[in-house]
Formats: sequence, structure tokens, C-alpha cells
Amino acid sequence: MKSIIAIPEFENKVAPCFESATCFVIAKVENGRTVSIIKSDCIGCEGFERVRILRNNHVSILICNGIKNFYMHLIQAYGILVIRNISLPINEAIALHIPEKLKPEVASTDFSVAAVTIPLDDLICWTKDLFQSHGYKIFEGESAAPFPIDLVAEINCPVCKKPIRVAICCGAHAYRVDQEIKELHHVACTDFHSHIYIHPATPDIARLCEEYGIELIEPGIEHEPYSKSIGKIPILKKIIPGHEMAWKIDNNSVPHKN
Amino acid sequence: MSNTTNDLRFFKVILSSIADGVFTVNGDRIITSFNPAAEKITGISASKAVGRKCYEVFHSDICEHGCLLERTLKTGVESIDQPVNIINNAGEKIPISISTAVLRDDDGRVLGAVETFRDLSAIEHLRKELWKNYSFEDIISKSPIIHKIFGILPDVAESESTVLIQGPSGSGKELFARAIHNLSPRRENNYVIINCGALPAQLFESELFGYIRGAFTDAKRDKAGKLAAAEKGTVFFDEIGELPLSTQVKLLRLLQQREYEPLGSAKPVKADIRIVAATNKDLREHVSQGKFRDDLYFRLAVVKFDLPPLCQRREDIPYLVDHFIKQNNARREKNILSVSPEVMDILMRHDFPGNIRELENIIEYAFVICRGSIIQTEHLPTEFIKSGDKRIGMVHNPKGDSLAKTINEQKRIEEILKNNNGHQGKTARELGIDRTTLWRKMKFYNINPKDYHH
Repeated sequence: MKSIIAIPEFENKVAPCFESATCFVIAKVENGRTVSIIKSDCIGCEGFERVRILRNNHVSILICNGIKNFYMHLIQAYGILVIRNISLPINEAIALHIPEKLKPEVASTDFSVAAVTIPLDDLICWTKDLFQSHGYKIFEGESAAPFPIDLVAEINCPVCKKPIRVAICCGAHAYRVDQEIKELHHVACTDFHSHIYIHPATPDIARLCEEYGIELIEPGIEHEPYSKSIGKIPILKKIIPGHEMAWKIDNNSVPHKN
Repeated sequence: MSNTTNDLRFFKVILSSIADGVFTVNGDRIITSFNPAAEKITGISASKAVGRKCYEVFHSDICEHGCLLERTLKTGVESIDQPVNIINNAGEKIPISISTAVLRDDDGRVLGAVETFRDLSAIEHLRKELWKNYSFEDIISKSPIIHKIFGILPDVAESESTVLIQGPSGSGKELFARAIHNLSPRRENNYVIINCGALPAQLFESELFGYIRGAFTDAKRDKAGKLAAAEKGTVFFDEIGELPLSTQVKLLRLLQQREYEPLGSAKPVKADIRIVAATNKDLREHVSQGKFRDDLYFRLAVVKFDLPPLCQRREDIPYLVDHFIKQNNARREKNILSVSPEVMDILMRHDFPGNIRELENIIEYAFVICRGSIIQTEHLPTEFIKSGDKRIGMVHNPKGDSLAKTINEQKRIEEILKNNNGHQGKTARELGIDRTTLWRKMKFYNINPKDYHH
């Protein structure tokens, strides 16, 4: 297997920006070994000239950090694989690429493929039932919380007796699921103790929820996994700062699969 | 609670609620805090940003050379409202203005620095709209057909060749023509549009070439034509297929000799202009029908591009929808986030006879009607909904024999549950509905799936 990897370089690392890097490191890899490494200057080159450099050097893979979608799509149209948002030392990036540990990142707009086909009303109905059956009080409607929060669930902490407020967004509003998750995070970051996103768990969505500290719950029929909730605060898996004791009450709890 | 704890709590709330991005770094430019607005603008969560070097997160054009934060850390000099471009996590260019300042402890020792930044995307959108300063990067497409064109366009733009762009109405011909000009060595000079379809044949010559005093009854003084206005620049002949035969010959002369005579003048004027033409007609067909001069066609079509209609590049629809939402948010000061999955489904199935312009109009209409954050089906134009009625019904229920249409829904659910030994997943699949919907319906009819286990 032969491949030619190009990496825009800055201080021996992957450069922050494809279009303003001053040189490309071009590495030839054969059968999992780096055969040669050369540097190609690109000081002052415009984006198109950079694309031309890649083509002239028969590059098959571009590993970079920031790159405009326009150039990424253009490069991909020439059959070059783009692995973006990588910030590693050059050698490490090449070394990690060889065993295919670096994967091409899914552009955020590709989340559209994960659009939910479950009617929103059904998701809300199911979620409401799930939380109510575990002792939560439910508030809904625009007066309870801003978009995209559909439901606010409240339960008293068994230890300090203070109310714990949970912001719940039942996915399916927008085809841009990534935007919805980020919006939930921004809207709910100050007034709520916990944030829940109800959506079928694709790897990308699970990763994004994890990144923003949001708990992802997959809609389904059975409630059994939640009846054995951790501690005395049902359903919630992530420990809420200031309420740690509530998670220590029940040692026989079984964490649910997220 | 101590004052310090209170202060920290208040600072956290303040940083979380402001619209400007704020982050702090230590002396090694490693990010130590990152507020929610910074997350929103960069598309990178605080959990990912904290602990990394600022340039690994910001992807700015000044990160490598001329980093303001580095300068502030070294010299202690603040920067205020400096314009910079960054690339966010989704690959979009975001214009921002940044300010930097040093953070010191009580003894005056440098602890690090703080950077605040403001998203200027909305202003940039409006500025582009006002000045029509588009580049190739403003052409939104993921279509391989368009990218093949992108691949050769920079070379074409650099050359002096005449370009003919063919494509249906609303496919973005003008955007391509403008992008060719903006990428060409002539970009500092004028770009003049001549709409051949809107210009009466009698006026074509005087408008294009200008006239001198006394050329005709009302010619009281000399008037320069559009060609003179475009000197050293680019002339874009839109709808060139509408040009009458009598006028075509005059344009041919211009193309052949690169000179023209203003009306009433015997003195030829040299024209240093680049010509780009566009049409929604099949000009070759017009040539064979005798409606268009073949010599003019071949002069124009030195380089020829065919832009595909939107229905042949459906993969672009989500990107264009995103683009028009951002554009309208800037124009109307709204904050619409996206379209609903149902709306996207309808748009993806529509044929768009009016191409990109039709999609743009649909989104603009929805912006007027929509009061929330998501464009729903009811916000789409009525005619559009009517034409897509059948499709809308398909969105959630791809199977023809939908559950809702059956006369006895409860009986049907029970029957299929029984056939599937109470297996809810199989039952939902057979009914063509989601498991959550089946759950709601079973709850409504008081059906217990365990009763159907054999």
C-alpha cells in the first residue's frame, strides 16, 4: 500500500490553518513505513495554489487542522482524503495515520443524515412518562424554558432536599442535530443542574453530547434500565456538582447503558 | 459564603451570559478557561479547548505570524477590536474582532492573558451583499460537477479568454461570472453587467458604445457607454441568447477587433475589456435554428461551462439552506437555527424548477412567517406545500398502508403483536412506525405487550 501524505506545518506541528501555513511536509508512505519526507514551501500562496501543490505532488491524504469547507470539498473532489481538526506534532500525525488511528472527521452538516423520523409529540410523550414514572415533576411549554428545551423535570435531592432541575430536549426539531445539541448546551448552561438530549444514539451524536456534558437517552419502549437508576436521583447518570452524596447512597445501583 | 467564592460564582454567570467570546491563557498560551459564547463562535466545546494551545483551537490567519495574544503577553500592550478571520470547527470562515489584555496578580506578576472576541459574520454577510464582493468561496456546493468547474476556474480567471456560462435560470451564473472577475487580474477595475434581455435593440448600441454630441436629435452632449465604464475591467453579458441578430453582428465586431465606434463618431475606440456571457438557452441549438450567429457563438464559447440545475445536485440543498438561513438571520436580525427534518425532507424531494433562486425565495418567505427558531412545514409557501402534499404524507410513514389510515387501529396493533409474539420492535417495523410511537399508541389503547407472549 502506497500513500502520499501532506501536512501543513508550523513549529513542527500541524499548522493551525491550511491557508496560512508556510510549508507542507509531504511524506511518502509504503507498506506502513515512511519512505521519504520533503518540504514544499507555500509562503504567500492562495488557497487554489495550495490545492495545486497537493495535486502536483500526487498527494492522497491531507492531514490538517483548520481548513475552510470550500477547500476541503475541492480537495476531496480531486480524490484526496482530508483528515482535519488535527493538532499534533508532524511525526505523531504520520505515525498515527499509518495504523489508521486518524480518521477523516465528519463535517458537522453531515449530521443531517441522522435526522429523526420519530414524531416530536411521541418523543415528548414518552419522555414525560419516563420522568414522571420516576418521581419527577414536569413543566412544559415556552413559559417553562426557552427553545430547544421541551421539558423541565424537577426532583428534590434526597440528601439536601434542594430541587434539582433537568433541562430536556427531545431531538427532532431540526435537521441540524449538532446545532440543536449546542443550542441546548448554551441555553441550559446556567439555570439547570443537568441536561438531557433524547435521540437515537449514533456515534457522532453520542460524542457531541459527551463533549458538551449532555446526557443522551435513547428513546425506546422499556423503562427497565432506568428503574435501577444510580443512587437516589433516578435516571441521571452524571454526578451533579454539589450533590455528590446523592450518588453515594445506593451502592447496589447498576449504571444504565448510554 | 466568602466574598471570593461569591465573586467567582458571579464571574462565572457573567461569562456564561455574555454574547462575546472570552477565553484566558497562561504564559505558554495554553487555554485555561473558555466561555459558552466562545464555544458557540468556534464550534469547540470548553472541554475540548481547555488545556490546548490557543492556536490549535482558533485556526486564525494570524496564529502563525502576528498573534496578538502572544504580543500582549510579551509586551503587555493591549489590542483593541482588531479584525481577524478564524475557521470554526465546521470549516466555516468566521470574521471576528479581537481584544487582548494581560492578566496580573496582586503583585503585578503576569499570570497570563485574556482575549475577548466578537462574531462579525452578520456584518460581513451584509457587507458582501452590499458590495457584491463574491469570490469562489462564496459559491456553496458539494457537488462533484461544480468542483470540477472550480478546479479549472482559477486558471480561466487568470487568462483573458472569453467565457460562456450556460445553465438554467437561478443556477448561479451571475455568481460564477462575478467570481471570475474577482479572481482575475482585472479585479481592481469595474465589473459591468449588461442584461441583453432587458435592453431594447434600438438602445443597445447607444448604451453599450455610448454616443457623441449630435449623433441623434436628443444627443445634447457626449455620453460614454457601458464599455467605456468597464475599461480594463470585465463586462458580463447576461441572457446573451436574447440578443437580436441585428445586434449580434455589432458584438461580433467588438469581439473580433476589440474596438468599437460610439454612435455618431467615425473614430474607433480600443476596448481593453474581458467578456463573460451567460445564457439559460442552449446556444448551440439556437445556432442550428439560425437564431444565433455561429461565428459569435464560437467567439464567445472559448471557454464554456454548463451549470447543472439544482435537481441534479441535491446534495447541495442542505448547505444552501444553511447559507440562506444565515444570510436572512443577518438581514432580518432573527435567530432561526435550522429547518425541521420534515421541511428538509420536502426540500430534498422537490424538483426546484426555479433552481437556487426558488430555494432562496422559499427560505425568505419562511423567515417572514416563522416566529420560532425552527422553520416548520406550515412556514413554507402554500403553493409549495400543495405541490408537495403527497410527499409530506410520506415523511413519517413511508409505507402506503399507514397505521393512521386503518379503520381499527387497536385491532391491528393487537393482531400484529400477536403474530410477533408480543415483540414490539418487529410490530413497529411491520406497522411502519417508530417504537416510541407504538409505545404511545399501546399506552393509549391500554395494550400490554406481555399479554401477547406465547
